[in-house]
Amino acid sequence: MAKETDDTQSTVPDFGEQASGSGQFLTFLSGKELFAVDILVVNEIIEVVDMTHVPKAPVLIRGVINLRGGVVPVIDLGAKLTGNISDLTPRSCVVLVTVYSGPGQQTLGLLVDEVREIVDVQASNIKPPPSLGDAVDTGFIKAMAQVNEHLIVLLDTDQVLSRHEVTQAGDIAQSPSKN
Amino acid sequence: MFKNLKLSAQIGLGYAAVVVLLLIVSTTAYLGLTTSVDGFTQYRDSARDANQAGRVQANMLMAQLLTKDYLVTQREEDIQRFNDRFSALRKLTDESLEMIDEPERLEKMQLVNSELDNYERAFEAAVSQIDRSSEILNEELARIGTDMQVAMTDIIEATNRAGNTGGTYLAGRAQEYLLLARLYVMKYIDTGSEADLARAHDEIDNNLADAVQQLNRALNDSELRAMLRTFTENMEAYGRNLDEISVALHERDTAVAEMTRIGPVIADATEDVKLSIIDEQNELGPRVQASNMTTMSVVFWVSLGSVIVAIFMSWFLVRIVKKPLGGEPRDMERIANRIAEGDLQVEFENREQATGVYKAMINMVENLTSTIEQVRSGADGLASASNELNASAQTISQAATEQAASVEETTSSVEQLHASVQQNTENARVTDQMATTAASEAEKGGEAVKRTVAAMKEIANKIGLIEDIAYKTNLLSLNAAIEAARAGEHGKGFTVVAAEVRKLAENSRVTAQEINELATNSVSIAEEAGKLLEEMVPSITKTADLVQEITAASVEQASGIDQINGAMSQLDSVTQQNASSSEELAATAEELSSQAEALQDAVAFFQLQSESKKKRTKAVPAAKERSGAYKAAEKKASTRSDDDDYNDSDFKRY
Repeated sequence: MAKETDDTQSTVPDFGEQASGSGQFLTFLSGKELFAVDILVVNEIIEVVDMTHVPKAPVLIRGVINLRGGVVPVIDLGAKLTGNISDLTPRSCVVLVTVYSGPGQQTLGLLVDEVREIVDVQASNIKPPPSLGDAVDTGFIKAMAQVNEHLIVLLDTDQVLSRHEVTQAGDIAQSPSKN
Repeated sequence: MFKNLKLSAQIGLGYAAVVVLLLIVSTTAYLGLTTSVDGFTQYRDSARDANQAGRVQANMLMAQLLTKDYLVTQREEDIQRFNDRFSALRKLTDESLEMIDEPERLEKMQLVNSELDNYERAFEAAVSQIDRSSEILNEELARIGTDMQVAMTDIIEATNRAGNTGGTYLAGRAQEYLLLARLYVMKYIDTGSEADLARAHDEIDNNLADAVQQLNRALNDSELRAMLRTFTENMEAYGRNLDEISVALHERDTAVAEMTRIGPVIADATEDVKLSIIDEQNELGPRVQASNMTTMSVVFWVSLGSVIVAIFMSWFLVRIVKKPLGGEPRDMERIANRIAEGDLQVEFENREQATGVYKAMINMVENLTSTIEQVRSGADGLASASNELNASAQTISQAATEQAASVEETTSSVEQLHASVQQNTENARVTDQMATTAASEAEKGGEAVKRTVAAMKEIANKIGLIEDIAYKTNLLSLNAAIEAARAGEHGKGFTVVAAEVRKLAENSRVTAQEINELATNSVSIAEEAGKLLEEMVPSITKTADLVQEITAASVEQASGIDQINGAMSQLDSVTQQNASSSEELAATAEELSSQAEALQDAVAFFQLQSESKKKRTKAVPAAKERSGAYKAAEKKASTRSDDDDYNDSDFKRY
């Protein structure tokens, strides 16, 4: 535990060197796999509250939530990444992120199974995504981060959802507010 | 079947068969002779009848002959002879009527008899008519004829003298006619011809009457005419007498015809009788002869059969009688006497073909021999066994005394056992109470454990709340860290605080998880403890029940031991009795050995057909010497060896 504390403290001086690739990342579990996103795209983490299910919406979109007066669509990240619809548990959380694809910036909720911690990763420990050939779409992988000898997939939130999906989610989010 | 009958019945049946055959022969002969005698008598009777009928026939013929004689001669002596013969005939006929029994023949003879009556009457009629006709002829016709002839001759002479030629001529003619008429009358009487009679009548009634009428006219002398009238009257009388004689002759002829008819009738009747008798004899003769022949052959064959059967029966009876005997009764008696004297050394001949009593005697001797040998060896065995028995009885007596001592020891042991069993009963009762208490306490423990489990579960739930709180705190710290990161350089200090908070939250979460694990483990342990306690309760209850059963069993054991006590005292007295009984047994065994010796002596009576005889005669006095049981026991070995030799020799012989 003491060592962990040391690691955390050592990351603090490197905080501003985002351009070189080093930075802080939020790790979470989705479909039993550990993923990470850049902490700067994360707005907030909230517990799963009552979601309003939207009829005729695609399977990816679990519903919409009311966030301080705004309507935010919630994307089932497990369903997107692994194809299996996530179960709701007491540990399930919604990670609110801001995406820049589509018509400008938009806030989306990503449903994950459990959030873990915030880790600092040195630039030297950030590797480019693996090349698996044209058959596999690896666009949503920003990079691979090595943390404590483990490789964690760094998700590119702008690429995880296609433009069309983001637009659809945005329409769904806006339509109830108009109505 | 016949073989199964008694001997007397067999012999009786054999003789009965012979007697039956004898009876058959006698009966056949008697019946045959009777038939023959009957036939002979019948034959004799019919012969006599035939003889009688022949005599009747002969006499009848004689009578007919005499009748013919008479008719020819017409003499009185012929009538006399006929009457004699006829009376003889009647007598014979009467005899025949009495003698003949056969209805047909009797009928014939009666016919003969009646025809004889007719014949007699006819004969008498013929005689009377003949007498009458001769009387008319001699008295009337001869006188009248002669008168008429004389008268006519006178007329002829008168007319001749008167010269009346016409008258003479007519008278001559009348005389001629008269003579012719008389001639024909005589012829008629002689021959009986109707033509002669008619001629005579014709001469008288026509020619003479015409001539007389013419003469009457020619005569003129009254005297002559008177003569002629007398002549005419005579002539008429002559005609009447002629008629009468004709009637008489007719009657005679009728009678003769009757006799002529009767003669053959009688002859036929008698002939029929004779023929029928001959027929009967012809039939009877061969029949009687055949019957006699049959009787003879039957008697011959039956006699022959009887002789054969009698010979067979005698052979068969001898065989039947001898088969069950198998030999001569004298030999049997001799053998039986020898066996009765105890001598079984009998030599038998023909052992293989022996049958019946003889074979039974062979079997008897063999079986007796083997039986007596067995009895001998048995008696020897009995003697030695009785000695052993005696020794055993002594042993039993000693053993019974020892047993009595042991029984007393056992009785005291049983008393001790009784005390310990009562102790046991008491202990079991106490254990029972303790077990019951333990069971109720174990139940209470189970309840407590259940309550503990419930409390533990509640603790686990509460710890879950703490865990949630830690998670939420973590979330808050993460959000704070995010905010700090956004704040950039200004949020750095806050970042550190957020990290510390997050660490605290993490620590509390980990700790809560550990407590939760501990609580969950405690719950399972407590549950196991409760389960064990619950399982213990029925075991303890079972134990209490078993202990109760042990108590009951101990009580039963106590009463059982009481019974054993009683039984032991009885056993004690019985053992005492045993001791005395075994002494009695020893005495009895001595008695038995002396009885065995007596048996050996008794069996020694039989002399067997073997060489062991000599040894036996030695062994018997040796056995007699044995007086006491102990002596007998000492000698047992030697006697045994003798017995063994004896038995060996026996086995060799068979």
